[in-house]
Amino acid sequence: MLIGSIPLTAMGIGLIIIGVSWALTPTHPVPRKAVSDIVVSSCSNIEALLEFVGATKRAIYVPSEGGGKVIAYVPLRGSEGGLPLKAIAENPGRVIVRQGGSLGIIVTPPKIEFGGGNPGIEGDGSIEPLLNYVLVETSEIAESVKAVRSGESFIIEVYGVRVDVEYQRFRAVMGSLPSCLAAQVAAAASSRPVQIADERRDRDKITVHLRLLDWTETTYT
Amino acid sequence: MFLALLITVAVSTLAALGENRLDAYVSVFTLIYFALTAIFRPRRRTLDFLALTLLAAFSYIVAVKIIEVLVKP
Repeated sequence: MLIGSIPLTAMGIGLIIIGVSWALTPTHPVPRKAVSDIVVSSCSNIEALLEFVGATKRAIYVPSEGGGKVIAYVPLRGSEGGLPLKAIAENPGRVIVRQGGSLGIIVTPPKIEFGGGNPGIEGDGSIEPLLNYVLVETSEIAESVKAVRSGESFIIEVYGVRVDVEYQRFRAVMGSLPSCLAAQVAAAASSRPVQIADERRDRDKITVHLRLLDWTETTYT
Repeated sequence: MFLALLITVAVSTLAALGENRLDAYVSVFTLIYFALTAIFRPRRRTLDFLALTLLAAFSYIVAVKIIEVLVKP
């Protein structure tokens, strides 16, 4: 009967248009320029600090013991038998970390809140819904994201990157902004330290290879 | 909200006028959608594939009409 009635069919099409339009509209839209400016200015401080200490090694994203918060440990000088990652998580308040021949700094990376405590990984080990929430829905930094877990690593593809920072030292140490956020999500979700092993950019697509570290590993990685 | 209101008004008006061509409804929906998009510039989570779909449908309807006129004896 519905198909037979053109006005009712048209009303159905109209409802589909309204529904899809509603689904495409972000629930809490924030001015993109404002977000971009805040993010870039916060990264400039980290860039200045990293430049000052001459950091070159990739940061290790460490979830704190309390849950939720993820800090970035930037190794500056390493030696065998360095500081265990567990010790960093237990003392997230420090800025300079020195033990034996190891030296590093702890930086609070730019982050998007995704709920208190450890959100946990879904049954299939996928962090994709959480990444989608952080990178696409909340921050609108990217258009879409895909993630797969491969053994002790995550391979994440971020499509349609809209916001990023151009600071060279920041990108070398912390990774690009989407990678930095993705690493924090992976660290918080898996409750394990994470390091960006590889990052490739192809126009507005970023492919990130995240390595899951063990708590028993030391900062000399 | 405006989209829902205008689509309801459009369907009611066209139905009251006895319009029985689905392409007329779809064309009006397309015009309403693009007019509201141009006025309010809503943010989108992803690519606005609804706009692409409506544009494709509208283009198809217009093309069919043009062909009908051209091949009319």
